[in-house]
Order: sequence, then structure tokens, then C-alpha cells
Amino acid sequence: MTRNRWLTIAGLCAIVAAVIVWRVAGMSSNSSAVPASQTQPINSVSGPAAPSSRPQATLAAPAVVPPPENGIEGLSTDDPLTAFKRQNVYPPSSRPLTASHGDLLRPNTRLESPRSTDVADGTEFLFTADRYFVVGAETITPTLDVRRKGAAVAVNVHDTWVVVLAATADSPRYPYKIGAPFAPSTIPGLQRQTAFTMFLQFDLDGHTQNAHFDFQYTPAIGIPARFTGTFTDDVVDGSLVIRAGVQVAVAGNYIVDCNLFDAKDQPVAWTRAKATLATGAQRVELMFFGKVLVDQKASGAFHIGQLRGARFAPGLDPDLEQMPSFDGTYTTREYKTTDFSDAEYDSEHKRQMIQMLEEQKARGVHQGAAAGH
Amino acid sequence: MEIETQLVLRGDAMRKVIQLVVAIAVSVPAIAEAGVYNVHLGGMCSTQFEGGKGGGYLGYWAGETSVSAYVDQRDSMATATQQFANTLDTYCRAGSGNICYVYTYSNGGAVFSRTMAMYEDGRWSIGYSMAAASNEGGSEIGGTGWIGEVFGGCNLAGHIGPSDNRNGWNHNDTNGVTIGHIGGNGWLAPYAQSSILPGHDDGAVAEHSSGGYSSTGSYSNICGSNKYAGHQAWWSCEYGSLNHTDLKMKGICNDGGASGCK
Repeated sequence: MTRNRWLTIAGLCAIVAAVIVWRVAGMSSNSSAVPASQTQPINSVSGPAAPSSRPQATLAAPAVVPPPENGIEGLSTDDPLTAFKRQNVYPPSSRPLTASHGDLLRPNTRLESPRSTDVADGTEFLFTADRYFVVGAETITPTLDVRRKGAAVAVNVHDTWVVVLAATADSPRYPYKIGAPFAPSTIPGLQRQTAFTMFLQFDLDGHTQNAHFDFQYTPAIGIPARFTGTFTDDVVDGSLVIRAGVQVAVAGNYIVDCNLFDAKDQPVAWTRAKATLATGAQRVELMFFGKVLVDQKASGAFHIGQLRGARFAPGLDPDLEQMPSFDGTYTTREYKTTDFSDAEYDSEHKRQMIQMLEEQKARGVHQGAAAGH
Repeated sequence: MEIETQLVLRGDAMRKVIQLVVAIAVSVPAIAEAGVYNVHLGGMCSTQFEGGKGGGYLGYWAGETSVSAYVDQRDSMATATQQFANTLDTYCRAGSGNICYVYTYSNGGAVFSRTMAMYEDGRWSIGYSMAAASNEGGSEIGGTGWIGEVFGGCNLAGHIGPSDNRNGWNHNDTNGVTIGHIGGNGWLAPYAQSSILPGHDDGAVAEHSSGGYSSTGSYSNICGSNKYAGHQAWWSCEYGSLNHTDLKMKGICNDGGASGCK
């Protein structure tokens, strides 16, 4: 190849490079970027990572009033930008806790309700149990209550069995008795968390009634981690951080939920930690956001409750592996309300979202609740 | 003669090089265009938004891209959660310059909520989610013989009761996304199933679920408080005459993406 030809090709490459740089730079200046579809395979979701942004206290904008934590009474009319700002005064994973947060204060509660029999003659029955998650040596106790016009009705229960949720005709069935504790640990061969269904058949006035509900069981060998019962607490960046000791058997992405109460046992805040943990002795940071504590006018010695967690394993089914919940509590040292920051939540992502929603608002589309219907 | 042949060959090669160079240069903006994506997530027993019970089609907003999320809701919430996360990773990843709006129907509302709760904060840029007839709080007919008739015949349909959905994840963690709800109280065949759905219902889900309420119970509209954080009632406290399937396109119509809804 001649020198001139090399020079020609080199020149063309330089032109190409310049064009590419110019186009990419132009896009960057327009706040655009390469779509994620081109940079990350569609099946490459890796699960939660360590928190991408720590709550900071840097926003200087006028105070944004968050909506009532239990929801707005009536219709929302906020445009999406306003709604986003109000929703994100607190971080997504640490918010006020109130007495009406039954789902958070009483986790692992079954929610079946009485239902009519298929005959629909006014007879109702309630087939339920005492828990949804069962771990290790724990048991689950199913109950059946059949009533007609409020009075209990005796029925003939003629078949009861437990089977894996994704059952086939060949799946083994395990018998149980209504009103008696059933120990899933007696089911052989379980290595990890498994979803089960409890089936029931009973006879009433010559008709057979079927019913079922599901529960989740984590065998002892499949417990991914345990709370150790060791804690420390401190104020970090204006927020209360309680570090909970965890002994991790299986590394991975963990989700840990916890509630915070004041000295009068009144609910103050909840938190949800999403952390990547290696095996061995680890600590999970439970961050209770400063402004939540300030807005709740919380002070004194706090204590925790309903500490629970699971390993999140996308690609497996079930994709959660439960840790044994921590039934004890931990009391922090004394704090004053002024020990905490009253600055609203801030993060790079939040700022980017506000910028994008401002642009969207200017376009006049996707007005959400403010669309006026 | 030999020299002329060499020049012709060199000319062809050079032309190909130039064509390749131009093709590479032109292809760069095609893969870098940021935009607005309207992600549609279907309901129970579906794998896409379009069709199925209630029909349904993708909304249209000028200059934007509507997407049907391929999410298999026939077998397990775990599978659905992962597949929906894949969809969001494709179109809505934070820092990509894209912004997404998510329109869910029926159990798609549960899949959306679960996905937000499971993955780390700030992973996606989502303007809001519009949840029509959401099964986020679970349906009492999950344990009955009506389930196949109402939701369709699939394994997951029998395992989406209130105990499953409300214990399954922290619904208050919406990843900072506002979820707007619409719910109905219309009749849906075979009708009898409404007798076991507490309070007002659309024939498939009660308003404790479609309204984003944080506890089960009998509700006569979706405008009360006691909701999960970030959950709101939009546009109407109740579409009294609309059933579960009528509601599939209603939110998209209200938000300007379609017309002709009841």
C-alpha cells in the first residue's frame, strides 16, 4: 500500500471520528444520552445495588409540603412535577410511620376474609391461617370457620393437603389437620424458599366446597442470613442510622425493613434498606431520614420493631429468601429533635427528574392528575 | 492497461471505505436519541398489553414512543417482576436521558409496585404510573372457581389474593414514583363473584385494591385516605358503571393517549 493511500484512509478516519465526536457532544449538550437499550442487554438486570445516592441536605428551594403520608383525601390535582416534588420531600425508602400503617406495623398477617360458598345459600366460610411466611422450625396453623346467619355450622372436612405451588399431577401431597400446627420442616428435600398451597375440601348439605391459600416456607438450610441482635446508632448526615448486625450465609442483594418508635411507643418512621452483603459478619445501615424525625417532632430514646429482611434473587422463583424476623428490639441513646436535619431529600436522580418533568410540563402532555377529567 | 485496472480497483475499494465511513457516522445518532417512552403493562395471564380480556391497544402521544412490555404474568410474580425490570432497564434507565410513563392494567399494577419496591432507588426515570383497575392489593376471587372466568386460565391467577400481594412487598416504597389510580364499580360476568369482593368492585378487584388502599376492607370509592405512600386517586373517585375490562383503556384516554373510551 502506498503512503498516499495510508494518508487518505487516515484522513477519512479522522473525519469519521470528528463527526462522531460532534454528534455525541451535541447530544450531551441537549441532556441526551445513549439509550440504556444499547448499553445494557435486556436480560442483564442484576438486582439492587448499594444505594446510589445518600440523602443529602443541599436543596435551597422553597419548602415543599409533602402530602399526607396516608394519602390525599379526595382526588389529587397535582401536576406531575408538583406531585414528584411533594412525593420526594422524603427519600423513597425512609418515610413517616403512623398508627394506620397496618401493613408495616403488622407484617406477616394473613388477609383472607369470609366468603360465600359456591352454593350461595347464605353460608359463609373463612379458611385462613396464622401467618404467611414460615421459617425454619416454625409452624403454620390453618383454621376453618363456617357460618350461616352468624351461627357456626359443623361441616365434614374430608380432604386436606399441602402441595408446592407449581404443582404437577405427580407432586407429592402432605396431609394436615384443621386447627393443628403444620410443620413444613417435615417436608423432605427442601433446599431453599418454596411457595406452597394449602388445599381444603369440605362437605356441606351434600355439596363439596373447595378452598385454598398460599404460604411461603424457608427451610433452615435455606436461610440466607440472620440478625445477630447487635446494634449501634448514630447521627449521620442529619439522619438517624441504626446499624444492625447480620450473619450472612449467602451473599447477595438484601432488602431489610424496620420500624422506629419513640419512648411512648408511638410510631415515628419506617425504613427499607437495600444492600449488597458478602458472607460473614456484616452490618446493615437502617437510615431513618432526618426530616422525617423533625417533622414528627421526635426526640428521646427511640426503639425499633418489626425488623425483617430477605435476600432478593432475581431469576429464582420465589425470588425472595426470608431471614428469620428479629422479634426483639433495640433502644437508641437519647436524641433531641434538633440533632436531626430538617432539609428535604436530595439526590442527583431527583434533580434530573425535576429537570425532565419541568421540560415535560412545558410541552403540555402527560399532565396526569392535572389533565382535568 | 494494467495501471488503469489497478486504479479502478483502488477506486472501488476507496468507494467502499467511504460508504462504510458514512454508514458508521450516520448510525451514531440513531442509537443515541433520547426520548419519552410510554410503557404499557398488561394484566393477569397476559404477556403483553394489547388484546386479551378488554381488548386494549397502545396509547399514542405525538413525538413519543409507546412500548408494550413483554411480561409473562401467567406463572409467577417473580418472573413478571424480573421481566418488567428488564423492560424498564431498556427504556427508562436513569441517566439515559429518557423519561418513561407507565400505564398498567389490573395485575400489571401489582407487578409495577413490586418492581419499584425490590430494586434500588433511582434506577429508573419514571414520570408517573397510571394504574387502571389495579390488583396491587390482591383480589379475593383468587381462591375461587370464578378466577379462570374473570382473569383467564393461568397458574398465577389463583395466587394473587390479598395475603399474597400485601405480604409480598413493601407497597409504600414506590421508588419515588407517584401512582395514580382509577377504579370502577361496574358489573362483570359472571356477576356472582362480586359477592365475595368487599365493598365496591369492578367484577375482578375491590376498591381496596384498585384505590391503592393500605388495608383491605369495604370501600365505596377510591378517594379516601389510608393509602400506601405515593398512591393517589386520579380524575374520578369511582367510575360507577365501568367494569374491570372497561377500565383498561380509561386511564390512557384520560391522559390524552387514546379516545373513544366509555
